[in-house]
Amino acid sequence: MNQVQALFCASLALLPLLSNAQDKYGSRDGEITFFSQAPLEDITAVNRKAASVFVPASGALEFSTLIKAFEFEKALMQEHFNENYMESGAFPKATFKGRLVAEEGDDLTKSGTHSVGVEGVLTIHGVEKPLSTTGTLEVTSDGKIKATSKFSVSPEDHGISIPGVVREKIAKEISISVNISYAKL
Amino acid sequence: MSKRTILILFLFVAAVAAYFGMRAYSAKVPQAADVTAETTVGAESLFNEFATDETKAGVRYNDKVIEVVGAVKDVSVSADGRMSVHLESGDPMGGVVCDFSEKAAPPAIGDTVAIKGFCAGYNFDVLIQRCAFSLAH
Repeated sequence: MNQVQALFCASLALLPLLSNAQDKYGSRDGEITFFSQAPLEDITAVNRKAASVFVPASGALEFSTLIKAFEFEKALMQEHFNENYMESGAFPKATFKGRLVAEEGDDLTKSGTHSVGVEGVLTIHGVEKPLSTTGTLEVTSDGKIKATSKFSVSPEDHGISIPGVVREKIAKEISISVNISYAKL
Repeated sequence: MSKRTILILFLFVAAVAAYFGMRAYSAKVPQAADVTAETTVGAESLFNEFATDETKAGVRYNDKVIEVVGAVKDVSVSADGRMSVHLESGDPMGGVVCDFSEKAAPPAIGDTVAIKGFCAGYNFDVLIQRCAFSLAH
């Protein structure tokens, strides 16, 4: 059994209520980038190991990723991110459970580029928050799907405390970019 | 000691502290190639530990440089050239994924390899990052 088929097995834990007749797509190499732009310093980190399952017929989409998989350029930034802010030992993962909402009359199972709404619950640092944003879904005739989205998150909304001495070094709103390429399971 | 001497000494100490502070601040994230592994574990055993008790296994392995020995199940290379080596776990639900930040020659499927890297945790797979091969393969 290859990795994609194994993800399908794992997806049963994520999407237990879906009909077996619906096509499912999976990825284990989804990319999530965050960018903090502040007067004193810009900070960026990339996570290339997000796992996700998507069902085009219903729009159901979930992803899960390890916080420790975010890669920084500087060791001190990575250490502070994990130990002081995200507390990744206690809250090892960030997750999203929700769905992509097609525009009226659009069919996400058809080839083409689709503008979608993204609705669901984003859990970071153990705190769940509703997320409502937009995204793009590219469906190709060879069975590949690519989902992209960009939105902002406030650290404080997820219970992440930024000490006053470094508050000016971190943006009030962190920009998150999601880019996941799916293959059929 | 004169005030001038004290001032010079103070400035010297401040300069040295600033230099080492900047070095620490600018230091890159270490790669496993530069570090000795703290422990060696079989891929199947490692996966089973995380699948059985993720929290306990995380305490034991996360953030540590570990050497994982196992059979290559798959090798994937991303569009930007990053290689991931998937080691057989004996469990269809997942495996051990060894992610290489730096270029390395891809192993053959079925080869037994020893890879060291920083353990990042478990999310369907056990993720080992900033990997390097321990032995020639």
